[in-house]
Amino acid sequence: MMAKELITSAENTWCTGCGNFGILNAVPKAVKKLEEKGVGKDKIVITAGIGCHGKIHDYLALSGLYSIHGRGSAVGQGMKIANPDLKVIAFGGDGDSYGEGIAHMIFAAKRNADITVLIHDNGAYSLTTGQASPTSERSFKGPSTPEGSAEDPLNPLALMLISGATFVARGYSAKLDNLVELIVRGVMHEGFSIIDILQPSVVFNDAYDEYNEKTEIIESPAESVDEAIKLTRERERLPIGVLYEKQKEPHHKALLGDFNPVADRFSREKRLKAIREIIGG
Amino acid sequence: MLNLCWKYQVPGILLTEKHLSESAMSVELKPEDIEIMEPKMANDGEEYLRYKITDDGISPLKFPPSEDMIKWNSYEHSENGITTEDAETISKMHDARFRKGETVEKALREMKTVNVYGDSGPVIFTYGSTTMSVVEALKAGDIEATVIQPIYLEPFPKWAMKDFADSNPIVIEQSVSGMFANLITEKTGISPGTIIKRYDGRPFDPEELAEAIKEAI
Repeated sequence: MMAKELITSAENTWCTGCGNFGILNAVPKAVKKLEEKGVGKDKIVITAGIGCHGKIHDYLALSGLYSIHGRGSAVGQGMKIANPDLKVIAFGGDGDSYGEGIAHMIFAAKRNADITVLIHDNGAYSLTTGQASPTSERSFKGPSTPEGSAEDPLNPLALMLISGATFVARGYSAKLDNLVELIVRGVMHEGFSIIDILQPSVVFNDAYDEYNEKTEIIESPAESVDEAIKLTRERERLPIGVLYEKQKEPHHKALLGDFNPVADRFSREKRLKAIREIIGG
Repeated sequence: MLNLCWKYQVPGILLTEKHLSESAMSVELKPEDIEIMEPKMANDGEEYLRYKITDDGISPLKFPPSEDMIKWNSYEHSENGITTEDAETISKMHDARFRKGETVEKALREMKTVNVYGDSGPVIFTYGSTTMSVVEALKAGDIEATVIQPIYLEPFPKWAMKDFADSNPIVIEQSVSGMFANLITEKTGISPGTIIKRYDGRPFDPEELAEAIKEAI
């Protein structure tokens, strides 16, 4: 399968040079590698929230649900519980998933939901012309903060780590091979995986120079949550790669064991029997 | 209702309330009488379109895992589920959803959508658990009346209310603004003579309600 077969004919409306193109290039390559590992593209479902990141749902020829603002991780968890045989990739943005959708992220991490969340983190609400987002730097100037933001940015990966995420990574949209590998590892990880992808918005937050200079691929994850948090706090360099990984029973296994609500769907007779047992008829 | 949601691929809202949810009662269930409607599923072998435009407004379903691309979309979309801003497609999709609304209404017309208690005296419109308060009040006050209780509020069963067009009814509801009375007027053109309202967080008292109904008559 050629990677370009995974791109639809939808018109692409991202700005020329947008970091989102790096992610759009990486996903088909990752899907190809996943196929080699036995995960067919028919088993991969995607979802997205609202924002420039969400357009990737239209551009990728994969099944899924283009959801609403901040709800990609919530919808993704639903898809996994409905059919645990599926591999779920939930796309989100920093404004979308770290803002309105942050509670879904925290609880997905807490329950170790087996989904992979890819955050297109550009530090701005770029679809709506660049308002300050949860990861915008202090003093960030945009239409909603003309004098500069008076708030410090959130550290989303530290928040995910203390919430219980079992696979925490940072990628950079311009480091394609590394990003492809992170996506493959995130999808293969059994449990909640989050990859925060540094993704410059050329018009509203052009951070290419800073990221090119500061990003540094780390070879192995931190040994502990505390050490991983330290990596997320580094400012002089920006560590790229898997920051933390741990094996832990995923939510659907804890909830359903090996039961699959789709494949093992109860027959009418079995349902009626269960109802009769409850009502004692 | 879950059957209707499944068959017509629409979300359904089951209205409930504190009085009902805090009351216990026994009902007899006959599991073998439970009907399970099947949704319209897509045929294999043709290109799958999640939002295929059809006469009845219902697009056949298909679920992953599948070799086909199955895209649901919260934005306005083309038949294949990809976002669109094309004016013609947007209008067609609105038309398709509107036709589905008509399909659902047609099905509801064949179903029981209104409960009627009594067949003489003044007409009383009410809904939800307030219906039981009203029936009890009529008994307590020895009042003859016809009580109309729509079971569905959307689509509103206006076809079942034609006989009461000139009834100058009493509307009884738990609301400060009279929203149920407004809904009746909006959907049927029937304007209520009197609205009896209560909104102190407690159910109607049958004897007090009986007095209020007598006053309204």
